[in-house]
Amino acid sequence: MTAGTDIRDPLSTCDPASKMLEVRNLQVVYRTLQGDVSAVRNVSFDLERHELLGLVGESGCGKTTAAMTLLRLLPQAARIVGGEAIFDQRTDLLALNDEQLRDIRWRELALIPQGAMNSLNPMMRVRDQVIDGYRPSAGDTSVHKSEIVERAAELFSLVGLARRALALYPHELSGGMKQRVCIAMALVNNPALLVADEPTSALDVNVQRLVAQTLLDVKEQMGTSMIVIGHDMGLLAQLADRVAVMYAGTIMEIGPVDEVLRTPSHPYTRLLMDAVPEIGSDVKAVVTEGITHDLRNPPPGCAFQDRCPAAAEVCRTEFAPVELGNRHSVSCVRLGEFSLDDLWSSETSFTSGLSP
Amino acid sequence: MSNELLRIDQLSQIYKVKGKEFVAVKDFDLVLADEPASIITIAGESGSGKSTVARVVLGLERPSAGTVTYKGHDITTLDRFHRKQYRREVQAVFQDPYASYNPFYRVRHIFDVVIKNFDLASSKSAATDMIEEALAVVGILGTEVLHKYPHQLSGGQRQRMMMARAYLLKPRLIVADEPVSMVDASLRSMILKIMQDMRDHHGISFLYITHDLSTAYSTTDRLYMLYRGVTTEVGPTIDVIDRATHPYVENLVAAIPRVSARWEGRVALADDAEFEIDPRGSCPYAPRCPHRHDRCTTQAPDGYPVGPDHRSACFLHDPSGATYESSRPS
Repeated sequence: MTAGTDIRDPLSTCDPASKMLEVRNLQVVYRTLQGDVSAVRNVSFDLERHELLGLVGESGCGKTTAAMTLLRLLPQAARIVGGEAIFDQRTDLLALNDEQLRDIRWRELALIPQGAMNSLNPMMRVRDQVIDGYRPSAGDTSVHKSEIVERAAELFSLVGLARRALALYPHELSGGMKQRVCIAMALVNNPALLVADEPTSALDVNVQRLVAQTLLDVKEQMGTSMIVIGHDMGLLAQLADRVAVMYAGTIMEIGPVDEVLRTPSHPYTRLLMDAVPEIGSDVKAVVTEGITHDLRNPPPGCAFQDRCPAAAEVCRTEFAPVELGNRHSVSCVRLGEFSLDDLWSSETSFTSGLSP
Repeated sequence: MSNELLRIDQLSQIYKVKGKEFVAVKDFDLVLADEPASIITIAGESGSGKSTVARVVLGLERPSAGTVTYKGHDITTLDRFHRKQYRREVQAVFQDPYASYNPFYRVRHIFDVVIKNFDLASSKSAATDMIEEALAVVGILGTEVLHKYPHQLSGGQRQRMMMARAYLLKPRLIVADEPVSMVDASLRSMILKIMQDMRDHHGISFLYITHDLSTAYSTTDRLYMLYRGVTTEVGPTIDVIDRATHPYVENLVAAIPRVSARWEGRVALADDAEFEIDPRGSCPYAPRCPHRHDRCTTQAPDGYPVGPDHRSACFLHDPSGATYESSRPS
């Protein structure tokens, strides 16, 4: 960290309730031959220390793009158009140059990428891969070998892997074990913030539960703040402290997990929850198919207006978050003017052409 | 046999790996009635043998032991006429809707090939009518998709097109191997709804292969739970999930993350050495089972009745066997 960008307030870092990350008006576009596609539109959220934020939404809603922007790991075609992301109350992640990024990435900001377990090098023992990025301090590449092995063993016990697994190659491990190796790898430098993209997809439910439990243990024991991207609502209900629901590049609702997922306030959150069949409930899953507006040309007003049965004239022009308190905000200007119950039951937009 | 569409008797599939035998499926039985059509789920985690059953039913593998009969004929010894009938009446939909298309052909090609091979239409316009009818069943307009290339369709659209392609042949049975696991959560319900519509209005039965019990719960009629090749529990889907009796199924159902409840307690996974266990001489779940007893490691349990049309392969439910006063810690 160069002195110029270090604006850390020494007192605030000791305060456990302080902010880890403050994202404001994040805007990202993808350049295409047919024009710029807005993937992330004015996304703002806070992440506190020791907090786990779930980022949910359908594929293409911008959840992965938003998170990768924070790590500055976007594909070539993407461009950050605006916004800031203040990390640890001292650094704007979006304003760092390459050298500053190298210092902070993997040491303070770590990632468990999507399909991480398939990204291990088949020719290297997992131990060597876990410690490959070990940098106790910035720019330090000379670490003693015994210290390295000790560190790897520590991490393995944290993620519940046996010490003998250190010397194994990836093909000798099961999927769940490989995924836990990747978690250990991301934690090697004790990062303050960990981004995990679909950390348990493609795992069987028992193994999924074990990996989820590992993430919660890490949060508990190391105090890591986390952003977990996913589309399994049931899983995020187990993991997250707070949840942000994204649609077409915009956060529709963000708040405590119990409030957002169990008693949704936004029509889109409600639709998303109703589309997920839940075991033990005899409520039929809602089936709708809607066309999202052209992402190159987002209409003014609410992003969900084309699919929302409660959309009115005001929704075509206005869009603003409504604060409900308890760090819960809902981006619906008509909030409270209609009931979310039976919003979809009367008009099912999908017909299969079979109804007799 | 008059009212049986598909019958699987004592199906076993054994692979030889490095001179050792690996039992992928052991003594699997299944009966699918001709009328009314139904959706049968075969569920289990990776390595449970569920896809092996599907591959045998589709004729992609020959079973090591046991028989699969379709309308009373063994599918491995069909004559020309019955083989063609079987190929037409039993269709498949696979997991990856991206890998099912040739990227160089327009979407219409997948329908034209089927129409040509089975000589379904006499003219191009008759073929177009057939395709439109099949697409209507899955809620797609032909004019919107047929002229496009596969990469221009969404995952949900591609999977619905595969369902329409299967429907085109007016099949009696569709083997659907994980058809929704690569489709967005919000579109899964739609694919499941199409399966129900085909069952209720077109008399098409399904063998629905999945690892995700929540998609099977409210949509399917019967559930076969497999674990390491062994049928652990069979019955009406809702009964098996809500009133699981096999320790494996109980544990699995408890691990499904739900929005309405938090997980209780912690889980630990046993060592993978248990993969070595031969299900022919013991219960494959014994190494992890909290109710394990000596008998579980020396003998394979049968399916014991635990409710109406509901069986469980666990000695806890053996009406003749010894009951255990206390369960041994594992």
